[in-house]
Amino acid sequence: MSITSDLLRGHTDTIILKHLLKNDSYGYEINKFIQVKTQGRYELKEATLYSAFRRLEETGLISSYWGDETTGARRRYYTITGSGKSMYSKNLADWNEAKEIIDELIKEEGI
Amino acid sequence: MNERIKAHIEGLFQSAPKTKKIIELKEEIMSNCNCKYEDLVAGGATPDEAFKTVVAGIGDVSDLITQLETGISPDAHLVEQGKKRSALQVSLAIGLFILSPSFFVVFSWLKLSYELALFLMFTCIATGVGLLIYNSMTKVEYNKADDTMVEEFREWKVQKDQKNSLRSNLSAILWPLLLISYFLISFTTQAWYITWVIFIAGVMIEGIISVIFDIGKEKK
Repeated sequence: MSITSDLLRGHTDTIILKHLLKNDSYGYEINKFIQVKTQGRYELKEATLYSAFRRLEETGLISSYWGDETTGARRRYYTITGSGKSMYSKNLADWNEAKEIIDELIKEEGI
Repeated sequence: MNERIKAHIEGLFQSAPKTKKIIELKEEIMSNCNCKYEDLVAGGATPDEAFKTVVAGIGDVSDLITQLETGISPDAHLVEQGKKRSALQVSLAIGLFILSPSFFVVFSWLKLSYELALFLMFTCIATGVGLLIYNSMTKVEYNKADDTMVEEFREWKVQKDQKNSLRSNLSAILWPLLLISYFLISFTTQAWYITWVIFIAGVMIEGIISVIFDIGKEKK
């Protein structure tokens, strides 16, 4: 599992960008989405998630704003920018290429 | 807001500096953890189980805090460049102001008409005024490198300096303008014995400008 999670961690940014493509979201919702989508096999640590948010925000791929919740604590929402969208497409293409190459190199012959 | 979670997160941030970014991060983590906690309890977990799951999910925040602290502003050298450009513009404008009346001296020495001298003088002054206005409108604002008190003070100071520079720019424009009107009125009316009053009026206008600025300051 440790190799899998290392591999996944390298794609944290792309996972976040993908989720924001549909609509603006906040930390817990994104993590919940990851959990549900992977049937509980993977979940980001809060610290990993927020450090990714800051990094993405600093490089201008996402931007954030505070929601106006009437009840409870206010939430910080994130929204994807234009350069975030193009970064997502680029990362996706890169990943597909890497996947093909690795498959080609490590798959058993004759399968 | 669950008090146990709140206390736990407060504990994690205890030794972190109290900057705006870090307080916001704390608030964000708290709100999301609370969401998760309520979700878990709603899903059938006991409060104790839910608390443990939430705490286990937070991970190590110390790296995150360091990341926020060391983020440096890329605008520092932009401010420096802006200062140099602004200094050049101001000195050019003042040079033009000083130069502008000299046409009269040169033209009377060459025994040429004053009209051309007047035209040249106005051109000089208009260019100078234009430079000063352009300079105060395009000033680079100081962006905080981080959110500590020191940076907030710096930002405040820059804003204050900009206000003062507007005031000194106004004075710099006022005096050459008075000088032009002095020559203009004197040459057309030939009433040299009284036109010097303009300069006394200038002192009064200067006083009024500083009163206006002081009133503006008190309102803030």
